[in-house]
Amino acid sequence: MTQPQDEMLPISVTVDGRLETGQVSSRTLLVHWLRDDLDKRGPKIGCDTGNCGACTIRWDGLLVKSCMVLAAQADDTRVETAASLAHDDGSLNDLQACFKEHHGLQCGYCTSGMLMTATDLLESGEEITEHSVRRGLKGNICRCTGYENIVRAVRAAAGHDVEKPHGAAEEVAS
Amino acid sequence: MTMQDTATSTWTGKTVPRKEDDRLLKAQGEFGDDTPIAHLGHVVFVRSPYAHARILDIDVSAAESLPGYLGCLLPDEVDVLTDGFMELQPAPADAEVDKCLAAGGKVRFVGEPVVAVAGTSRQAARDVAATVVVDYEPLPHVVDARRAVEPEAPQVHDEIGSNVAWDGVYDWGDIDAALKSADHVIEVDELHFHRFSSTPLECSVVTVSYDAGIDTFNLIGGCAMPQITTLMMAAAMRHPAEKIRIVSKDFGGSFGVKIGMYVPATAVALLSRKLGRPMRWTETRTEHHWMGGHGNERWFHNVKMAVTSEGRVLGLSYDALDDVGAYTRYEPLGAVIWTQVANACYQLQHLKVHYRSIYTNKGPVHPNRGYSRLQHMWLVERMMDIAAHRLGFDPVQFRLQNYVQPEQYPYETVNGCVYDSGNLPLSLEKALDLIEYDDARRLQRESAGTGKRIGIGIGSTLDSGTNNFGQARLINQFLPFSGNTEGGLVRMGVDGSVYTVTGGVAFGQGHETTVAQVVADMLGLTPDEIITHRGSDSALSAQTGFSGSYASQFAVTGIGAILNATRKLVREIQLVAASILGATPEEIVLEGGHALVLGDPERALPFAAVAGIVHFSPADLPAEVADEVGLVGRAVYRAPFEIPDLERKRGNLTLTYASQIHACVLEIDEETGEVKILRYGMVDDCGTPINPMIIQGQVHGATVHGISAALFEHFAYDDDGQLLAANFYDYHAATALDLPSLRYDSVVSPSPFTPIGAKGMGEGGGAPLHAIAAAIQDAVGGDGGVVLESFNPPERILGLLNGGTESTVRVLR
Amino acid sequence: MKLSGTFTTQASPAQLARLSTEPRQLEQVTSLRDVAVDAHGHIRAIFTAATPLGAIPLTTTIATDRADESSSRVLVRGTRGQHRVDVTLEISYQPTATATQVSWHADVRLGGTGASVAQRVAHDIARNAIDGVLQQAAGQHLTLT
Ligand code: FES
Ligand code: FES
Repeated sequence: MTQPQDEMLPISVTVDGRLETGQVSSRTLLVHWLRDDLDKRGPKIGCDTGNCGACTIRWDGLLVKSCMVLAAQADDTRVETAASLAHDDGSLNDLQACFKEHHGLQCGYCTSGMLMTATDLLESGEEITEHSVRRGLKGNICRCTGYENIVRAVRAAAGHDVEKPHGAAEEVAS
Repeated sequence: MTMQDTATSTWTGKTVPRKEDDRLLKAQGEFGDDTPIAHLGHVVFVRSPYAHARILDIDVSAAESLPGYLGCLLPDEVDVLTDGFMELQPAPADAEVDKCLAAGGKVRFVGEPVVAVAGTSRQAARDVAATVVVDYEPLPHVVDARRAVEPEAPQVHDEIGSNVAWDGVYDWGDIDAALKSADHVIEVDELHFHRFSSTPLECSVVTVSYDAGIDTFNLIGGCAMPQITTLMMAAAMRHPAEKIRIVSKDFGGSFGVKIGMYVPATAVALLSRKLGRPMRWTETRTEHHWMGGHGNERWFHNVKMAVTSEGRVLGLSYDALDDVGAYTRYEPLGAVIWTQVANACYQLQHLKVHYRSIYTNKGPVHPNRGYSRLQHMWLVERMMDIAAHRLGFDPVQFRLQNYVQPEQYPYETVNGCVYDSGNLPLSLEKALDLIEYDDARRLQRESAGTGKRIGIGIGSTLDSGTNNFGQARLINQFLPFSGNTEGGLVRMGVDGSVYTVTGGVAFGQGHETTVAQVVADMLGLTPDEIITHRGSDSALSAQTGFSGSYASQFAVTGIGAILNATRKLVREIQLVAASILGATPEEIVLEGGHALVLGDPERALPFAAVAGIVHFSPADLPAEVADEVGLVGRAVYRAPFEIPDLERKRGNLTLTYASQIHACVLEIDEETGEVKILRYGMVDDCGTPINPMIIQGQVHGATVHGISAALFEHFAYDDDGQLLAANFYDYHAATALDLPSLRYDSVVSPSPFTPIGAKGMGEGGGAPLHAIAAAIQDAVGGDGGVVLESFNPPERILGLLNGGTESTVRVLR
Repeated sequence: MKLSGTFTTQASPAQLARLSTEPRQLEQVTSLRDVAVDAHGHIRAIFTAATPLGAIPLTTTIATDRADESSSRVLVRGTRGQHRVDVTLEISYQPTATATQVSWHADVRLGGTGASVAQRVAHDIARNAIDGVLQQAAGQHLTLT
C-alpha cells in the first residue's frame, strides 16, 4: 500500500433507473461511489468485512453487498438501491408499508439493506416461512429491532397473517 | 393515573405508526456520513498496535509527498492546545491524563489514536495513514483486572501509583450478623461478567466545520449527550461552550456507548481549525470495536448469600473488580450506578459490596444498555439460582417468595432508593405462560437420555430510569452534580403550524412519534399535524445540561419537558383567543386546529389566525397580551430529587423502575455444546404506555442484545493485549437465523411519581443474560458444573457438562 | 502464532551466526532496503511484506539477542500505520557432511489491524516472509565472502 498512483477509470452505470457517469479509481468500492459521488443514501456502511449487509443493493438483478464490489466492475451495469422501491408518487410500496405497520425499523440504519434483501427473497419464488425469512435475512445485521418485527413485516408482505404490534389490535377495535 | 396533563388522550397511549419511518424506508434519512459538505476533508487516525508502549518517535515525512495530503495532528500539538478531559474520580486517580491523542508519551490500549491525518478524500487519508511510522518501545501490559491489582502489576497510568481508579465499600444493613445467624450460607469464590457491547450498526461519525469568522465549531453527527459532550470539549479546548454547536440528524444507534464521542470529536475539531476546512471522521467497524466503548467487565469474588430455612434470602456480600479499561471516561460512575438496583428484584435487607474500578490495557468502557446495573443483577440472579439449586428450593417459588411484593410499593431498598411500582409475581406468571412452562417441563423430562438436554431459566430485572445525578457525589463528594432535568420546546409558526423539539436525541426510540402524540393531544391536533424536529440541535434552546438519550429516561424527562412546554404554548393561545373572542382564557379549549370558547363552538379562532395576529398584527391585541405572547413554549422538566446522604451512601437515586421478567427454554446438544433457544418470553412493565408498539420494539431489541451477549459476543483480549473480536467476523452479532421468535406480554403498573405514569425503559436490565445462565444451569443439572460466567459458548457448556466448578461453590450451612 | 521451517545452505554455522548483525549481507535481500545500524547497535531496515492486500513496507528493527555457532535468537519488530508484527526467532545450525541445515522456530505476534481482519491470512504471509529472508540472506553470504 505504497503511494499508489491510481488509475482513473470512466464508468457509466444505471442507478435507480438513471444513467450516471463518473471517474473512479481502480480501488474505489461501489458503495463509496454510490454514496460519496452520487449521494445515494440507501447503501450504508456498517462493517469492514462484508458481514453486516447494510450496503446491500441489486446489481444487474443480483443481490450483492456493494462494499464487496469495485465501482469499476459496475461499468455498464444496472444498480438498484432502496431509494428505488417506493411508488412513483412517493408512497411506500407493499414491503415498505409492512415494515412501517409492523415496526420493522428503529434507527433505520439497516433498513435499506434489509429491504433489498427482503425484496429479493420475496421475488425469488422461494416458499416464505418464518424459517426461510430468517435464513434469507441472515446476511443482514440489525442491532435495534431484534429482527422479530422485520421477520413479521416480510411475512406480512408475503400475505401471511402475522401478529400485529402490541396495542395495534385495540386500535382497530376502537 | 390519568392523563391529567393532556386535553384528551386520543393519541397518547395508542399504537400509532412512527413519523420517522417514511424517510428511513425511502432512503431519505440523513445519518452521520450522509450529510453532503462542500470542500470536505477526511480524517483517519493512526492507532496503536500495542497494548502498552512508549512512543519513541513519530515520522509523518512520507505523507508529505502523497497526493491529497492535507495535514496531521500530533500528540505534542494536542498537549499544547488542550487540557486533559475532565475526570470524575477523586484523588489519586484524578491524576489520569486523557486526551484526544495518546497522552504522556505512551499508548495504553490497542486502538488508541496516536496521530490524526487528513486527506482530500477517504482514500487519500487512508493512504496517508498507512505511511506514518510510529516507533514504539513495548512496555509490560496487563489485561486482567485481577492481575492489575497485584502490587507488581504494570501501571497503566504511572502518575496514579496503582491501577485502582476507584475504591469504596457499600455496607447497608448488617450482612455479617446475617451470615452468622442464617440457616444457610452459600459461598462462591468467583463469578465473571464478560465484556461486550451493543455495537450500534452505524459507527460514530463526526463532521466539524470550524467557522473562523465567528470562532465557532459546528459539529454534525449523532450525539447522545450533546451538552455534556460540549462541556467536555469546551473545557479541554479552552473554548466557550456557546461557540460549539452540535447537530444530530438521523442516528444509527448508541445504546449508551457513543457517550465517548467527545474524544475523537476534539481531534477532528482541532484539525478543522488547523487546516481551515471542514473535516469528517467516519469510524470503521474495527475502530469502533477497539475504542467505541465496551460494556463493563466485572469480577465478583468472595460472594456470600444468607438464606433462611424457609427460603427467605436475607442478603449478600461480595467484592467487585470492575475492569474499566485504559481510561475512565464516564467511569467510575459505574461504581455507583449499580446501587440504583441494590436490591435487584428482591426484599434483601443486607448488602455489603467492596467495589473497585480497575484500569487495564484494554479499550475503555462506556455505558452500555443496562449500564452497571445488569452486572449486579446478573450476580444476584445467578446467586438466587445457585441457592435454589443447591438448597433444593423450586426456582420459581424461590423467586416469587423473595420478590418485592405488589402491596409493598413504594418500596424502599437497603440504600434508600424507592421502587415506585410493579407487579413482579404477575409478570413472572405471564412470562411462564409465554413459554408454556408446564409443557416445557414435560419436554425436559422427555429429553432425558436423548443426547439433548432441555433447560428452563428465569431472568428477573429492573430497568431503573431517570438518574439522580446527585449519586455522582457518592463516588466523588466534590462533583457539582445533583437532580436531573430535560428540556423541550414547542412553538407555533407564522402560519399556525406547530413545531416541537426535545432535548433527548433519539437513535431509534421513536421520540418524534411519542412527542407528537402527547403534543397532539394537548393542542387538539393529530400527530401528523405536529412538525417534529429530527434529531437535535444544541442551538435551539431545547436542551439542558443533562439532555440526551441514556439512562432510560425519555418517557419521563423528555415527555415531561414537552408537556410543560406545550402547557405554556396552550396558555398563550388561550390568552390570544380569549382577547379576540371576548372570553376568559380558562374558557378557551383547543380542538381540530381551532381555539374555541367552551360550550359555544361558533366562537372559534383557527390556529392560523392566532399565529397571524401574534406574528403580524400585534396591535390587534391588548398590550399586556402582546407583550407576553411569543408563541414559543420552552420548558424544563425537573425530576424531584434530593442530594443523597454521602455518609451513609443512601438516597433515592432514580425515579422509576420498569421491570422485565424473562423466561426461556433452551436445548443443549451434549455432543457439541451448542445451545438452541426453543422458546423465549418477555414481560415488560414500564407503567402507563405512550406507544405500546414502540415499547414492544425496545423490548425485542434489548432481548436480542442480551441473548447475543450471552451466547455469541465477547470482547476477548489475548495475552498480548490484542482484541480478538475487532470486526463482525470475529464478533458475532446475532442474526435473524440465530434467534427464536420472541413472545411478548406486558403488565401496566403506572408510576405514581411521573407526569403521566410512564416509566423510562429500553435498556432492559440484561434479562436474557440472567435467564440463559439459569436455563443452562437447569439443563446441566445437579451432576454438572455451576454456571459462573455470563458468556457461555459451546466449549464452556461442554466444560459444564463435565462438571469441574464444584470446588468453588460451597454450601457452608 | 508459532511457525517453523528448515532449509539447507552452503554457508557455515559461523557465517550464519553473524548474519543478523551484518547490514552488508542483509542489504542484498530483495525484501529489505535502507539497512542501517541504529544507536543501540540494532539493525534498522524497511522490510516489504508481500500480502494479498499489496506490498506493505514495515519499518523493522532487528536485534540479535544471542548468537553462537549452534544457534541464535533474534528479535524482530516491524510497524507501519497501525500494523505491527513482532517476531522472536530461534535459529539453529546443524552441520551436515556437505552443508548446514538451518531450522528456525518463530513466535509471531500480530498487532493492531493485523490482529483483526488480517489474522486469517497472516500465517502464510509470515511463514513465507521469514523463510524467504533467511534463505536469501544465507545464500547472499556465500556470494559476498
Ligand atoms: S458494509 Fe457491506 S457488508 Fe457491511
Ligand atoms: S433498525 Fe437500527 S440497525 Fe436495524
